[in-house]
Amino acid sequence: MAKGDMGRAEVLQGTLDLMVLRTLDTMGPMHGYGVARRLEQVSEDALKLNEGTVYVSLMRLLHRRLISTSWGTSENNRKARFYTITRSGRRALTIEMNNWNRIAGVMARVLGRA
Amino acid sequence: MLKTLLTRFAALRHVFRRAQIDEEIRQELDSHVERLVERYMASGMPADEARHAARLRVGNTLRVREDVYSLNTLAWFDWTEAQIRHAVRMFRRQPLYAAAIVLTVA
Repeated sequence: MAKGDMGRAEVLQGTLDLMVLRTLDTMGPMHGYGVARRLEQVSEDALKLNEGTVYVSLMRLLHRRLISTSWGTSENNRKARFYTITRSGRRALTIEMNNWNRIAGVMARVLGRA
Repeated sequence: MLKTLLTRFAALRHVFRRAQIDEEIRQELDSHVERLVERYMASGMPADEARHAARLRVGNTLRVREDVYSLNTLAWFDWTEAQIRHAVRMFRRQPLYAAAIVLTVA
């Protein structure tokens, strides 16, 4: 895999992970389907996500221990896996959101001027 | 440092549970598709069209399972790499002490 490809894939992964983490922070414990619905709603369907990728994102966040998981019952009485943000997740979220906002600000200035 | 160690150990569990996790992800993806089908049908779409649209929206489920399996496999390498780096650091800092351990174990 060319280095350029890896770089782009990583950026996209990172931004999705941030959105998923933020969703769990705002909405409380959710299952994967709920996260996808929320992302659709908040982005006004601009995201056009392959919703399966939410589960890969959740696994990455689980590995980093930024979220935890447990089994529960969904609104329509189905057995479902719920994901919850952890304390380190909340800390990481603050850091990464600040990073993101800072970078977005820099990009706006540079792209606006250059 | 303790936090890093805990993270490593947690990820290691994922390696040993790869097959089980794959089954869980498969079920989650199935449920996800089913819920989308219900949603589309509730808005008036015929059943087969709804299923097609739902599958399209969820995307390549095999790819998702492969990526998750990969992630869990890589956790092993991360852990092993961390162990090796830790050992090298220990040796660098206190070569005599580390050498003594190695000799004792050997």
